[in-house]
Amino acid sequence: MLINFERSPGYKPLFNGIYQFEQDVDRLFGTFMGDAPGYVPAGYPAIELRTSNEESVLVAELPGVKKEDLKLSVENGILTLSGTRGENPVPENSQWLRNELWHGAFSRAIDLPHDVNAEKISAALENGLLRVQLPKAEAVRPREIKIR
Amino acid sequence: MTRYNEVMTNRSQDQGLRTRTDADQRLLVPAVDVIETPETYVLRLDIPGAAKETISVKLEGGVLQVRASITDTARESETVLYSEMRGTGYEREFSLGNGIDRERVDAAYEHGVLTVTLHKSDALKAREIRIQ
Repeated sequence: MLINFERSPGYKPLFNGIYQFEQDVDRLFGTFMGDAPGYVPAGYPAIELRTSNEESVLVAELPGVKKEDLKLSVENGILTLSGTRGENPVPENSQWLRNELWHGAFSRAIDLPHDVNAEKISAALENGLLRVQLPKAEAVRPREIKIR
Repeated sequence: MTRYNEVMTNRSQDQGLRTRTDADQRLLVPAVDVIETPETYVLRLDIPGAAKETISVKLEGGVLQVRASITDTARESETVLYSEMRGTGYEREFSLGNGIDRERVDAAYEHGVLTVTLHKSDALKAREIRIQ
């Protein structure tokens, strides 16, 4: 979480040493900052932003979050996602043996890389992953210029 | 926690792993909740982005192994501008003690959370568990 790696189809770490180093640093900071293993801090879901000629796609990790508990808005080029992850019901006469999953409120604002056509934004939540499709505004789409 | 260690040991953590590189896969160790009820142990694992058909829950030789793959990745036409998602899959293993019925393990998947239910007992046998 301290060093961000890009993930693309053909992506491979340059050499495993770098990757190992990243793991070690993460583990060190994760340990003394009291993080749960593997993640960005609670209330701050991990994201990925991808772009193509036509649109950008924002992907966010929101395990355990239901559609009705998620809010999404765009204003002044900033996409805000917020909501709550409800507590899982704990049956009576039971006890916790390990508790690493985060619950509660989360919020994150993302500065969009270009103007979007706000009317045509669409979002889907599946398998704990939010996918927001942000079509580029007409003015920022790449277009070919004819030489006269 | 003493009780937990008697019944179930978190192997991945014991080995000091948070992620592991396995050929083409970069496996993350998913966070887990473990709850003990009078009859069962309930494990909940956060595996966002894992498609249901890629999830495998295996119980063999006293080790419960959970694996899954993340199928949503950038397309050819897309450039990744920024990413905090560093894995292509998930893996976590738990060593089970003798108090668990190895014939009865249930698994269910919803909203990116995998729930595995282990029933208390003492039978010993390896088998593969189907995802509901």
